[in-house]
Amino acid sequence: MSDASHVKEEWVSALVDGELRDEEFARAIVYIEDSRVAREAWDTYHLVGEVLRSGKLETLGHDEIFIERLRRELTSNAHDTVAFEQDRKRLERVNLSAVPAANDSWWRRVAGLASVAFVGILVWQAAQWLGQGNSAGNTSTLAQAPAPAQASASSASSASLEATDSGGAVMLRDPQLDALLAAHRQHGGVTALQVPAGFLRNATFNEASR
Amino acid sequence: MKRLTAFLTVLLLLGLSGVLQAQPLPLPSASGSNIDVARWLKRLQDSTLVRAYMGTFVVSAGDVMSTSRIWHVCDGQQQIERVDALTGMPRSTFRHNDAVVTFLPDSRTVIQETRDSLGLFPHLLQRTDTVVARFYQIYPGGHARVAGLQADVVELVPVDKLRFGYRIWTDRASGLIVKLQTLDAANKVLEQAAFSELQFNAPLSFDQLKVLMNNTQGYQVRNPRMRRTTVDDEGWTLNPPVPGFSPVRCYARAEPDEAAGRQSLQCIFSDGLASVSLFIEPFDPQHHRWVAAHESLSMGATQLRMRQSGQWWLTAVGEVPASTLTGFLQALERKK
Repeated sequence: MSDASHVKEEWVSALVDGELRDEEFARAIVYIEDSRVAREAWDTYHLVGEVLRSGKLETLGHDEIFIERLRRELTSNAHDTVAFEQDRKRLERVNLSAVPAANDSWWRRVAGLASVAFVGILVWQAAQWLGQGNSAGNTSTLAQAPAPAQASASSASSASLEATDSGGAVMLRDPQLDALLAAHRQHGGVTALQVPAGFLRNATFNEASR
Repeated sequence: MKRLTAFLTVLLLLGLSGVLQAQPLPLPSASGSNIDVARWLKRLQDSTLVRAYMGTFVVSAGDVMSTSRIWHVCDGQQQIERVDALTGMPRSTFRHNDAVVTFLPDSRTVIQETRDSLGLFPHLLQRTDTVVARFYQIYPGGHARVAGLQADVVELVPVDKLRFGYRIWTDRASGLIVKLQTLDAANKVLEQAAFSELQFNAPLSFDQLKVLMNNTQGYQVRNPRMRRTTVDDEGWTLNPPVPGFSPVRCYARAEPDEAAGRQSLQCIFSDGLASVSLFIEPFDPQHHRWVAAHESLSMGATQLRMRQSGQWWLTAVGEVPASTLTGFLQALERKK
């Protein structure tokens, strides 16, 4: 890790600890906005803090989101167990490398342990999830996904897309936002251009970009 | 002499307007552009009623390009259309007038919906043309070839910053839209959709497409549950309303996977060309705070903005400038 990036990661740590003021604070916020790694570090610090303060329940929300993202990473190479291993290692690296930026050694040890435990949970849940997929043979996870509501159907479609279109640009990371976008395209098309160009545009574009 | 001076001044101004190509000449019209907009919109509608065609349709937004294969048949009264996505997730979308059926072969799922805006076009048109004429100026943009066809180009320039502009190519013979660009205030293309290849009078049968559309054997059929409602009935109001945008319709959708009573609303507003969906759902602190901190969206012409309002979480999505969405989000409030 370069000195510059090390210093920037310390910004994140210091920001979490409430130690930054004025211009340093502004710079750290800009850095967090720009850097995905920084945001992950930010999340990890808060996650560890939550674990230390309140036990385990508060981490559930993060679990779901991290798992959703992990799932996306994995489903882009869903039938490739080598890729799964790489993703797992990469995720471990991201989480573990983010932790040592905390300030004192006690915190560092606890944070490290919590991160390892958290990654373990992620990997376990991901493996379980993949296991479910395998048990259904070659069918995609979409085959099991209930989609009775519009939003559900749309997000399920999204999951399937990511399973089959590894090269596609993932513009949205949150499946619920994905669902809202799809719902807008499906029902928001009320313009005078709707027939035929709008419908064609939506039917062509609908899920393809996600 | 005064008359001569005035005449020369007018000539000079006309000459200048010719030089300044940034200001295209408006369509000839006796009383503004209303009549022209109405006729132009009517021609768009008519073009879909008399033709059978097949072609390849390309949509480009940002750095994403999507392609589909299109089949369209109209027997004069009824339209049927098939759109097969060639990029992304495999799917076939059929439309028979208002009924839309999407086949997702990967999951062996069929989604059946009714999109009533499609069939309402002639009625929509009656109120649309005045709104469109009020908030957009229409200019001829010359001629060009698209997909091997001679096309007339029209530019719709918004009168304010609340909406995007459009550049539209229509086939000279049929009036069919063959290319559509969405433009920002600086005239930069945000998104474009066009036929790359188009064949009229294709040997297509209405019944053939209808049979394919109805053949759901081996597929699990889903019918999304949606309840029609209004913004007003749901206890919301836009104060102040966003100029030009009227409520078109509103759906309440049940979330069967969620706890009972959890519902989300989708209310759609339109100025005749652009549309905005406002989604209203219960505020979920864990999820929505995370989303707000990490997600922003600007994809081609489509923008997305969100904010918390008390116990509610509001999301605005639409093909309008982000500031317009912010205006919607700020104006949306519970009725007192």
